[in-house]
Amino acid sequence: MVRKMLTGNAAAAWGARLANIDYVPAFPITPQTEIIESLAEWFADGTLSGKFVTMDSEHSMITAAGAAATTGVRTFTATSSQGLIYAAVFRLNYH
Amino acid sequence: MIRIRFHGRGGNGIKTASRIVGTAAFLAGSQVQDSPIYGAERRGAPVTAFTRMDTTPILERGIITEPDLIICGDETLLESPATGVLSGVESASAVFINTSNLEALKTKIKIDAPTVALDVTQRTLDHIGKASALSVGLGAAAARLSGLINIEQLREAVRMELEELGLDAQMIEKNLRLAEEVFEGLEKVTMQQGKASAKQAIHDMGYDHVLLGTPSILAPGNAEARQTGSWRVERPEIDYEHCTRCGLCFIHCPDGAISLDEQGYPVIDYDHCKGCLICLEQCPRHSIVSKKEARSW
Repeated sequence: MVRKMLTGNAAAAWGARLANIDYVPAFPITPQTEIIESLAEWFADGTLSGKFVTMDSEHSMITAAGAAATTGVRTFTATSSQGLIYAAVFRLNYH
Repeated sequence: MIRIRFHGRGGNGIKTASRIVGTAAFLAGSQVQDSPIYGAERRGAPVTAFTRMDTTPILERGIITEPDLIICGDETLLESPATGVLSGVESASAVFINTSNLEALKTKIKIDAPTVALDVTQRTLDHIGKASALSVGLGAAAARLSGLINIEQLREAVRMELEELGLDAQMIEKNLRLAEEVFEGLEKVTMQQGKASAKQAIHDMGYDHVLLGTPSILAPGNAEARQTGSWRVERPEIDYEHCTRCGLCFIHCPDGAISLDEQGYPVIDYDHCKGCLICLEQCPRHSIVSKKEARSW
């Protein structure tokens, strides 16, 4: 077993990778951006199969994530601070 | 558990210092956690970073209020209580200060813990030629004082972290020599187990009403007491010979640190000017110049 020290962001990305996610709508915001960057790399090199889409805001991102999730697709996304607040406008509809 | 808290200024490499110690402790077989708080995310502004190391998995999270070791990378931070360098100092087994004159500092500041001093800035200048690149020196100091890390583990951690930052082989070699000199120039600290290492409570955050959960302003009008002038890397100076009193600098100063005197000449309040140099950019006569602050940059 390889023992490796990871950042929290890398650990989150690995968690998503091991969960074998299918769909990632993404929008960057510090300090979260490293998570979606790692995932983007894995989608690009074929480690993960599925769809990685960059969105125009957290508002669209969470809308896409919520819509995809209702179809049963395993969906992942990440955000932080103001991004989460912006996303929360739509998140409320999925309660 | 050993809890280390680093203090410095943005641009000093405080986050990297904490990462170097974290990585070195990891290589030494410890369970490790390290994280920074950037605060104002600005060069010169106070930055804090935390490293925890233990033989068992670490369940604690967040800031370290009761450190075993305090590493102070910039002695001028001690003069500003708001930076909290000495917060929880009673539990510290040692306070390390990057200074060339500890005795002079001690006449001004009372420190309720054993102190260790080394002029890391001078050694950094000697090896790297850049006084603000303190990450390796401070990381090496913390690694040594913790007593858990040997020189090989430190060297490997320095190499790993600096390679990740994209430094070339020659610069890494210089940093390794700096790390060795600092490591060998210090003695490990005997940790007063049970002082800081008493189990810290893990609080259930619960739920606060949003009005309670937002920061509270305890007293009005005290922002002036926070002397942010110490963040300054560049210092604007007005050349009054050529100033036409147009007032543009006064209008554009984002911190309200420029006022007009009775004749209408602008006056800079250096206790609060952060050195953004917007005034210099705006001055149509180029009669504001910038000078490097003498301090370590």
